[in-house]
Amino acid sequence: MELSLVNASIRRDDFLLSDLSLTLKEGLTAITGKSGSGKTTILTMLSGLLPLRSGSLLLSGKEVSGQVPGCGVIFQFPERQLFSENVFSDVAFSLRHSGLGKSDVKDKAAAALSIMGIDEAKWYESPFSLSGGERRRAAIAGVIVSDPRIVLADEPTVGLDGHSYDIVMRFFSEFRDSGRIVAAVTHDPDLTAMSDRVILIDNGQIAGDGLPDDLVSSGISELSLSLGLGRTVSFDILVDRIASMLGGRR
Amino acid sequence: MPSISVENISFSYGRGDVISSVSFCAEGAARIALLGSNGSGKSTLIKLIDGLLPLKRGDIKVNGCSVKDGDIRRIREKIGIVFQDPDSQFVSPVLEEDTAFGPENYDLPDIAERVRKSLELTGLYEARKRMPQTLSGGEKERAQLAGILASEPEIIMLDESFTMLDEEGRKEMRTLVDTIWKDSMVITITHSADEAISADRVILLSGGRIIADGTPETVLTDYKLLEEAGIKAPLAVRLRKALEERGFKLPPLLTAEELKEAIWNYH
Repeated sequence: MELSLVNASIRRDDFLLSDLSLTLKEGLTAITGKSGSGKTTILTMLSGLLPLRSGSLLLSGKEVSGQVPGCGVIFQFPERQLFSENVFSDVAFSLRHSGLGKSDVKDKAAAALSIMGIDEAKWYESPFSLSGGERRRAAIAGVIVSDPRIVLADEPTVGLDGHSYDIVMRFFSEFRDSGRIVAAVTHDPDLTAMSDRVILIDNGQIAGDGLPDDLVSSGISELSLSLGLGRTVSFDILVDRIASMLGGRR
Repeated sequence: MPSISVENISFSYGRGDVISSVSFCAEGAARIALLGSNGSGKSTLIKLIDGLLPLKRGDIKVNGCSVKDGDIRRIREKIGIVFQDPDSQFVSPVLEEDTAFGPENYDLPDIAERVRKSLELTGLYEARKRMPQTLSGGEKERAQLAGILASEPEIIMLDESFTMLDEEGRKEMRTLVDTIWKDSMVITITHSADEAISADRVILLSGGRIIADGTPETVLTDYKLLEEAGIKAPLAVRLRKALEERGFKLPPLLTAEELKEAIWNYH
């Protein structure tokens, strides 16, 4: 399975993005780059939700018009899209008109909520009674409930920490290994570090495409570079390198 | 001189206290970090200080005025909150009108002059006729600051602000905040210990309680406390600890700069 943009262009307000070609493959791809570089626009183009002015969007070689089938999109701050009277019916919403039987819908929604670690005691409460982290997780459950083959996420970990952060990170790590196409626009060095591939966007164009260690700038890589120890985004690797440098002075 | 006095407050949304017996005072151009994980009560605390949630137990005074009596608008006028997502803050299709929204609502004088000054200080005067939604991520953050600056608040709260920007952009915004509000109180609300390093005081929240209140040097190097609060220690502190476990003892430190120096001087 592959999802590709071929010579794709769009124009939105004063922002022009032209002649972009990019293929996403199975595994986790982090799309990173400066604020305003066009990351979100590219993600939206890949989802099929943003009509192209020219060029094409292909799913496994076949042209797609409109939203890519089997593609779940986790927008920025997805918790703002919660609207049902309770968490469970919000998560099950997209399945209501899918032709599935009632009990299947129930099972799938329960499974999605469990994957995202939402305590069963909260399933029938208002989404607005949840904490910010729980709301984010419930909103992600509402996307994965339909078992998408492709997941596109925009800054999924921003503002999360502790338990919620760990669950969302575990979800991305498991989805990465499940033969799906998963792509996340992110500034999060940890999410980027566990990706199979990093695409760096600058001014609407691909400025880099490779392994996380080669491309990411994080506190760890900055420190490593300034100590003359090369680029890495791994804490453990940096410790190893400093330890061997200090060991050499003994 | 700006001042905040939080006096033994507790708050519940209905099911157990999310803030319990919290007290702290601050005055002048203090730089405070309110550090805590998701669900620690940070956001609730800010809403209580700003009068967005009704306080029933304890008292909060801003510049001497209690949020319980007195005119809540008088208090809000003194407080500027910079939220995480600038997009959710724009109210007008034209930047300069958006900037004027705050002072207009507080019936403040000299609005045109306030707007001009705010946009100049944030480097957006040239963009004053633009639609806020079409600005870049960094410009939107600056537009948010301009809107707050126009009301000339004395207490600034940065609520997980600038997290949508990259590291370079965040540094730029923090420098701008320190410049335009050098005489104001700045309270940074964050879950990142690294973001809290530059404060001169760190208040650590866990489960709605203050579990530490001290200098970054004492709070951010205390592994036990940070663990209790579900917070990762600053990068340099974690590296120092990992190196110590390998038998390399470095002096106490907090920042990447200090770590570098300790490594260079190690023998």
